[in-house]
Formats: sequence, C-alpha cells, structure tokens
Amino acid sequence: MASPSQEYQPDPVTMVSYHRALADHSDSLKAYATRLLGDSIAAEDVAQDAFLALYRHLNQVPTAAFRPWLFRVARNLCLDQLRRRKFKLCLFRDLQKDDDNPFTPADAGSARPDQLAETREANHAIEAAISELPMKFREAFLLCEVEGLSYEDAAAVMGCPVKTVSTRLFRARQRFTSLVSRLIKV
Amino acid sequence: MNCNTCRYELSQCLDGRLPSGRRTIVMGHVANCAVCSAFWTELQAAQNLTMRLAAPRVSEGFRERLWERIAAGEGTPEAVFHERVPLLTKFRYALTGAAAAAVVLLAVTWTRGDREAPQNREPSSNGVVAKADLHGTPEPQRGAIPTSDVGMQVDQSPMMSSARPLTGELVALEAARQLEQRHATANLGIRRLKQNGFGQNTADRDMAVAQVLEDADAFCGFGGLLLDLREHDRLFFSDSEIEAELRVAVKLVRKSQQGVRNLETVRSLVEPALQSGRLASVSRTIMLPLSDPRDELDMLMRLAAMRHDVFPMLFITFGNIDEATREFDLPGNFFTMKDPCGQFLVAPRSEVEAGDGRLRIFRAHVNGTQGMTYEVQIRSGGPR
Repeated sequence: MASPSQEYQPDPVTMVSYHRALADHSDSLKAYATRLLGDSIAAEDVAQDAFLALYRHLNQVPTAAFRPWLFRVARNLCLDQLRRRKFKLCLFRDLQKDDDNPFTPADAGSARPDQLAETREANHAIEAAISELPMKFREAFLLCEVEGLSYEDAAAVMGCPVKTVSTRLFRARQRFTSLVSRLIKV
Repeated sequence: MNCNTCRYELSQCLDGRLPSGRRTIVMGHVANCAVCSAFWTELQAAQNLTMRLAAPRVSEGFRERLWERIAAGEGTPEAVFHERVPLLTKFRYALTGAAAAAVVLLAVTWTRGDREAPQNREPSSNGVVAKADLHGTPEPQRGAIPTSDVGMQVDQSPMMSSARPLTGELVALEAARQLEQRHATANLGIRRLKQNGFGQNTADRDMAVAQVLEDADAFCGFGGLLLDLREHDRLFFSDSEIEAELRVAVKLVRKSQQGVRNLETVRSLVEPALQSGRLASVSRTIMLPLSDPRDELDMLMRLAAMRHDVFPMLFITFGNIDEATREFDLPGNFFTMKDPCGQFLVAPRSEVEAGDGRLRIFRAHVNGTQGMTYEVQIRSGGPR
C-alpha cells in the first residue's frame, strides 16, 4: 500500500458527491469487478479500494468524472489481480459459483420457484457467455452494455479511442448474441 | 448498403449514437434484408437479456469497513495507477530504446575514432587471434599490426604504459606483410627486366637483377620464418594452397641462393617462385592460436636468436626504454621486447619508414577508408 495522503479534508459539497457516488456506483463497480475477476469477494475488495482511492484523490477528480474514474481504477486493480493470480482463479472459480449466489434477480420476491429456477439458469448462461468473451471485448461489453457507460467514458476507462470502443462493442455483441442465441429463441 | 456496415451501425443504433439520417438509411436496409433484420432482432433481444441481469450487491459492512480504512489513514493501493502496457507499446519502446542505444554507440565510436587509433583486438573465442585494422577498412583484416593509442601524449603518460609487449602474433603478421611487400617489389623488378629485355647487358640491368635477388632473399627469409612458425604450430594457414605455394616459392628461392646468381637465376628460379599472385595475400590467410604468455616470451627470444638475420628486417630496435624515452618522442606505435640483456623497444618496419632524419609512422584513421599519416619529428642527436 502506498503511504496515506496528507491530512486532506474534503469540503462538505464534495463529500456529498462522494456519498452519492458510494450509493450509486458501489454495486455496479462490484458487478463490473466480479465479471472481470470471476470472484465476488475479491471484487468487493476492488470496489472498496477504488472508493478509498477516490477519497484520497477527491481534490483531483472532478465530481462529474467520479464514475469513469472509479471504473478506471477498478479496471487497473482487476487487471493487476488477474496478472498475479491467473492460475488460482481458474482453480477456484467453479467452486465459488456453487457457493455464492451474488446475482439475485430484482423480482425474486414475487416470482414462483419454477420461474426463479428458470431465471437463475438464464442468468448463469448469460454470465457464462460474458465470461467467454475475449478480455478486450468483455471490457467494452461490460462498460457500455451492462453498466451503461457512454462510449466516451468507456474509452477513458479502457484507455483507447472512442472508435475502438465502438468496434469492440460491436464484436462483443456479435459474439454474445451467438452465445446466447438459445436463450433468445426461448 | 453493405450488410457488414449495416450490422456495425445497428450496434451503434442500439446505443442511440447513430444520426437520424443515417438511422433511416440503416433501417431501410434492415427492412429489405432478412439477415440484417434477424440480426437486429437478436441484438435487441440480447440487450434485453443483459438489462435483466441483476447486479451483485456490496455486503452490508461495505461502507463501515471503507470508513474504517479511511479513518485509519490507509493510502491508495499501489496497483490503482498501474496501467497495463500493451505488447505493441512495449515493442515500440524497445525499438525506440534500441535506436537510442545505437545512436549513442555511434556517437561514442565517432568521438573515440577522432581521438584514438585502432585498438588491438583481443583474441577471439575460437582460439584464433583477430587482426586489428590499420587501413581503416571496416571489416576485420588480416595482416595488420595492432597499434597502441595515437592520441596518448608521451609527456602525459610514461612510455612503458603506452608500449605493449611484442607477441608472436605481431611477429608473424609483420613477417607476412613484409613478405607481401617483397613479393610485390620483386615481381615489379622482374616485369621491368622483361620490358627492357633480359638479353641487354647493362649496368642498370645488373642493378635491377641484384635488387630482385635481394627482394627474393628477403621474401625467402620471411617465408622461412612463417613456415618455421607453422612447423611449431604457432601459426596456421586458412588456405592450404597458399601454404603449399609458399613452401615451393621458399624452396626455389633457397635453391637460387646456391651457386652463381645472375639474370639466368632470376629467369629460371626466382620468377617461377614468385609468379603466383596468391602469395600477395599471405597475411590474410594466417591464423594464430592462443598461447601462454610465458611460452610467447620464450618463443620470441629463441626466434630473435635463431633468426637474427630476419628479425632486424622486421623490426627497428630503438634501444632500451630509458634511452628511447629520452631520445625519441614517438606517439606509441612500438612494442617492448625482452631479451637476456634487458628490455627494448621495437617498431614494425612496415609501419615505420626512416628517411631524412625523420621517422614516419603510418597510422590508420579509424573512421576513414584511407590510412592517415602521422609524421613525427624526432631528434637523431643527443638526449632531448
């Protein structure tokens, strides 16, 4: 860990924005990290590290740029983790999927058990399809299609031109569509 | 409209990024193209699927733990700003680095080239000694005598440090160079004799014959020295044909030394002996194995003693070091040699030409294609 920053006290307005970001983006940040890492526990750590980093850099990051900044930091942390524990990940991914059920459908409370099972199966298939996408395509797909970032913000997160994001997203959609074609037909 | 373009633009259309005019065109194509229409439907359905995808929630203690970390003064994780460098970028950096290194290397070489003479080459790993380049040619060249620093000032550095010990390699190279020189001179004399006609009996012709015989004798002496070294495995020829021709030439010239020596001797023995053009490149074919420096010294002493007639033809001896330091102001193209009487300085004759009270020391320019000549004025009189 890097040394803590100097005694910086954010002003109340910035802190309000920070709290709002925490409320709005913590889940999506965890979801993004989970889909990149395939590990929800590590993903939560990544999300927390990203918010910690944001707090330490509140004086440098404009309020409007909180979201892409957080995703950019989360991406860097995920890639760093993937590099370091490339092989461990493969070993434990399947175990974790059985033990953990992080993706709870929003309408779970009102659904019947058979509908719940069907939805759960569909979600697994979609998650599997996303995880099968190549890393570059997956990033674009997650940021734009799943998290709803604009092409410009996604380009800032991925560190590439907007045109590249557009192309990668198109390729990702092509592959994803072919992978989930069974679900679409149903 | 092309279907591929249409599909790409449909993807943008899904995100609302297509201008309305373009959108109309694309939708017009979709309406008429079954394949693109199916793709558009699938694309929308797939988007609906992902929109239904639930997001995982952070655990209940997420915020509390975060505030604890902030309150504890925990810093930003180091990996936050670790950007992944793409392979292409790494390759580009490597290329840039290599180019910069090459420029620096060239600059250093160029700068040193202005100040220094060609350096003595170290023995190569295969046991064969590479030769230094005296003539400024870029590739390694056999037959050149390694030289010491030309830029070294005698008054700034003791002569002992600038002079290097004479080696068997240097002796062999100098012998080969002198042999080639004598070979060329003798052949030139023979050609002139032919042009003037062998039959003319003039004083000039006798002088010319004497000169040819003298050159041939010197050739024989140098050739004999090289063959002696070959016999003792101190030297090898990379071209066996040249070795064979050298043996024949030396044998014929030795034969010419027996009995009366006149024009007929030149015509019958010397001319056939030296006519091969291959002998002009002996220095390029000799290869020298590495040897123990102690054996080297012993070999040199024996060589100087046994070949006392040839050795002075190869090297000019300047006397002992103390005397030379006082009397000569040479820039360093000389070597030290020991014998039972002490240590002496010697200079290869092929690089030193005496005349008119001057010693002209020929040095190569490291960057040029032609040798540079350094003229050094020395006092032939008493101590400086």
